[in-house]
Amino acid sequence: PDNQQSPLSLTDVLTTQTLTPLLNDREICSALFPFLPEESERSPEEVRQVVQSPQFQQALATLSFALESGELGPLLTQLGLDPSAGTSVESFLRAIEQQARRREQERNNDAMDED
Amino acid sequence: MSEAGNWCLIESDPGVFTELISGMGVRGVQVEEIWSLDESTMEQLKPILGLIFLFKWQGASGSEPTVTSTGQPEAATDHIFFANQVIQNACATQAILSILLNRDDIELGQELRNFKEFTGDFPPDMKGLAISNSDLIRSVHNSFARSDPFVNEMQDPRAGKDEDLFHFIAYLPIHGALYELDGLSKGPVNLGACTDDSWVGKANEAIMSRMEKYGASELHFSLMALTKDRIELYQEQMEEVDGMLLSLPEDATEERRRLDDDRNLLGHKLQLEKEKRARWHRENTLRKHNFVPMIYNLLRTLAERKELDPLITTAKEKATTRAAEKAKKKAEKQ
Repeated sequence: PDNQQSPLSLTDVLTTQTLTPLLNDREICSALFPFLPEESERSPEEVRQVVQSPQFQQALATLSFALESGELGPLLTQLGLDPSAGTSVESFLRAIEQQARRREQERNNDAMDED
Repeated sequence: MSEAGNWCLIESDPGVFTELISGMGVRGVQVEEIWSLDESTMEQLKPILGLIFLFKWQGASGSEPTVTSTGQPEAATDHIFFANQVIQNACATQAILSILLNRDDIELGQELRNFKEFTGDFPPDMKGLAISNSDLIRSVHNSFARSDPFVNEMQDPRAGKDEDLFHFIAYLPIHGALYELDGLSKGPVNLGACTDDSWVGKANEAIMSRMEKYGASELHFSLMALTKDRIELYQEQMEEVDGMLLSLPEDATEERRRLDDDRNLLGHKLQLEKEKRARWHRENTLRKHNFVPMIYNLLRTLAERKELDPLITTAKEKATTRAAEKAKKKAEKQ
C-alpha cells in the first residue's frame, strides 16, 4: 500500500490557524449555537472552548478514519451530500466545496430572476 | 469471545469511571488516577478501596505477553466475586465491578446489590456472562460512547490495524488477604496476608514486578484508585472541625486559630474537588457529543468563504510529507 495516496486528515484542515478567524466572528459563532451540546451555554466563548477541546480533536480524527473506511453513505445523505462523497476525506471535502458553489450559483440565479 | 450485545470502547479516565460508577447507582466513591507509586501519593488518596492496574499492549496479535501472575490462582471461593472476562470492551467496567462487589463497605444501590445476590453462586465464566448480559451495566457503560452515529460500528481509530489489547487487573484486600483479580486468569490470586494499612504497599510491589516483567516499551501502563468520595470526605471532616470549634472554651485562642486554619484548608480542598468534578462532567458531556454537524458547518462556512479549496491542497501536502517521513523512518529502522 506504499504507492497508495496518503489519506488526508480533517485535523489538517480545521487547524487552530484556520479556525481562529472563524471563531472570532460573532455571526459565524451564533450560527454554530445549534450544534453545541444541549447543556452548553449559547455564547461565542463556549463555541471557542468546545471547538478547542481535545474531544473535538478526537471527533475530527474519528470522522477522518470513518470517511476513509467508506461506510458513511447514510450520514452524508443527512447532510445533503451525495453518498459517493463518503469514500475518503478528500471526496467529502470536495463534495462540501461543490455544494457551496452550487448554492452560490442558485442564489445568483434567484437574484437575476428577481431583476 | 461471545457477543452479548454491543459493548463500546470507553476511555480509561477517572472522570469516565467515576460517573460510570455513580450511573450504576453506587454512592460515596470516586476514581483517581495515580501518577506515582510513592508513599506520599498513596497517603493523600487514603482511604483507598481498591486499585485498578491497566495496560495497553500495542503489537501484533500472537506476540502478546504471557499473563503470568506472581501467585497461583485459587479455585473461586464463595466469599469472592470473581468473573472471567467474556467481552474485550467490557474489561474496564469488569475490573471496577471486581472491587465494588467484593467490598462490604460500599453502598451499591438496589440494582447492583440484586445483581450481586443473583450471581453469587455462579461459576466465574457465568459471572462474566451475567455482567455482559446485564442491561443496567451495559447501558451505563455504553452511555459513555461518543454519540457519533457511526462510532459504535467500527473500531477505535487509534487502534490502527493491529487490535490493541487492553488489560485490566483489580487489587484489593478481601478478608485479610491481598487479592489480584484478573478476568483472564482462572481464578482469584491470593498474594498473602495483609492489613488495611499494608495492602496498598503490597499491591504496589505486585504491580511493579508485573511492569518489570513486561518491560517492553510498547506497553502503556496506568493505575487508578477507587477511593471514598472526596467531596463527602472533606465535608465530613469540616463538620468534625466545626464540632470541635463549638466545644472549645472561650479562652482557647491558640487552639481556635489552629482549627480555623484546618477548616480553611479543608474548604480549599473541597472547592478544588468541586471544580474537578465539574470539569470531569464537562469532559464527559463533550465525549458523548456528536460533533459531526459542528464539523460539517465549519467546513461549509470555509467553503462559502472560498477558503476550503486551498486548505484541501495544504492538507494534501501535509499528508504526503507525513507519509514520506514515515517511510523514511521505517527504512532507517531496517
